Amino acid sequence: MTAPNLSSEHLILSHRGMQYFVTYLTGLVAAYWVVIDSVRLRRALRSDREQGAVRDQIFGSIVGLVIGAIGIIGSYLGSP
Amino acid sequence: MASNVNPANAVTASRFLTLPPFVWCVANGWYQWAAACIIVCGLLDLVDGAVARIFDCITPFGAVFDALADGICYGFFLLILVLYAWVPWPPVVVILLLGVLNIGLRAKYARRAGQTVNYRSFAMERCVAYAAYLGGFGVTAYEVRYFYWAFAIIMAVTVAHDAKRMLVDPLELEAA
Repeated sequence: MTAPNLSSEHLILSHRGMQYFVTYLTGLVAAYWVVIDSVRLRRALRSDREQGAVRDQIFGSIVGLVIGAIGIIGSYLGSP
Repeated sequence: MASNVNPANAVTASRFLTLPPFVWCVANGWYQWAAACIIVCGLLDLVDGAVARIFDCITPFGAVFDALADGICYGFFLLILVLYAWVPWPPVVVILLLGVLNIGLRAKYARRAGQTVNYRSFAMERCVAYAAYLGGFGVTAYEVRYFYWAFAIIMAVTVAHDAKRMLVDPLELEAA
């Protein structure tokens, strides 16, 4: 993979500012995601797990939690 | 039932207007403006649902059109980033193939159900939201390999789960 052609002209933020922006945005959204899916998972676990739709909700919330964890770890790895 | 020509679908259609400037920005290295195009596209995705509720114009076509717009816009962003070598191609190929497989499974599920019905996958909804961020990580060169391969693995697990639900498990149409 060749390095992308990133222009230093017409910037909205400095390169470093952009890195901070993406880090904080990713971390905040991922944390929010973890909280929301934790609540959804708790609610789904209290429902009747015999129903396929409830099992789907449980699986979806677990996937959401994993994605949130990936986001938090990624924002840590990419922090300036 | 509300007409298919309505404000919500107009907002959904307007998402395609972000694609040409995105290509131009990537071609010229204006990566922050390319990120802005992706953010606008994502915000319009949030707005169209709200507009549909405010104007009471929720239609089955609108739901399908919204899902199609997601696939086309986010898939297009990834393809352009691969074409300009801003992101590695192997995870993107895996992701796009899984996306095509997912569409095929849904068609098979509708045939099995004998009616036009969309299988609601809560996990795939999370994956689509994650896909919106993939473009942003790609244009800002932010931990690209980590986020792209993690997404490919999660999508593979989700598609495998949904394949079992759609093809093997008993039909539960009220869940769709």
